[in-house]
Amino acid sequence: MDVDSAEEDYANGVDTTEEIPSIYLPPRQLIPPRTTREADNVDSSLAQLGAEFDKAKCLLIPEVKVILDREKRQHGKVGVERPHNEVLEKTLAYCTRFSAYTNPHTVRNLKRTIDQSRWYPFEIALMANLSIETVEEARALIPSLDREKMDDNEIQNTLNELQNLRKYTAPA
Amino acid sequence: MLRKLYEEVEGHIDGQYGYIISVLNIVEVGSGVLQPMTGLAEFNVVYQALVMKVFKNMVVDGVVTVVNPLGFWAEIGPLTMFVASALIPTYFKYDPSANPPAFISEFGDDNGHVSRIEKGVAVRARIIGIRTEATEIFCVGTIKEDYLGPQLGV
Repeated sequence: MDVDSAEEDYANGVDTTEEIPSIYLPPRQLIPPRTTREADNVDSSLAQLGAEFDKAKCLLIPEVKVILDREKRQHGKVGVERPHNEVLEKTLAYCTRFSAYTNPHTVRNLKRTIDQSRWYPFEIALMANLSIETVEEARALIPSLDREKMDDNEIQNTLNELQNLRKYTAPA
Repeated sequence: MLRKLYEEVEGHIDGQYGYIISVLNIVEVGSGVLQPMTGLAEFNVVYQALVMKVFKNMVVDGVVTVVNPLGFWAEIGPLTMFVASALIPTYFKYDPSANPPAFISEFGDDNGHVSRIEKGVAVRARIIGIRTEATEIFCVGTIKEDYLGPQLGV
């Protein structure tokens, strides 16, 4: 409605309050709408590890052990002096305790199996690291396996494969 | 300069990447830029590192370090985890007279083995919360679920 007709209406005593646009701005939102941050969506049970880790490789515990052992040996050789690393020591101790596979060859075979599998890397890494034996256990411990079109047989096959690798190269 | 990198980065925490355990490989060292006023040079270094990051709802194995009536602490490598007594199945009872203090299950398994949670025992837990601090990462775990709890033979 234009100004002229508004004035007319006013003059005629018609109630036009509904139609006159307010000169006041709507109240400013004091609390900004909550934006979802990256960190909110990071959840391993949904198979979402965040942008930085989506393409990251997942290492197995014995693999970490091999790498760290090698690193430690190299620390002495290379001229650059490295400070004492508490975290490295702790990690190494942990890996030594929880290594289900001790033989480097096993680790290599295992790695090949993993690279060929169609699972998310972190899922299969968990399956191997936790030495899971049954499908039920796998589903309980790794909730992201519970998504659709995940066949029990498929999981079982992978688990069997991992178990065989472990069996054939028991502690040397 | 590389020593400086190792000093600053190894064994420290990054908000995004968690624990940076070890620098494995240095990809590229940028050319140094002198900072005005200080005379120090700034280098951009691209490197590969072994990191440890935990995620919510992930299942991990840990080693129990401290047991007290409120729950127990466990270590997962460099990471510390707390499992409150509310998140321990009710059939585990705290036994203050045990030495070392332990949570002891009320009934044994088929072989009559009674499971205990005490210092040095391996425990499997699900992480339900993570807090990152400047020098350490803490997480809260639960063992009140199937397939979680003390592990034998590890």
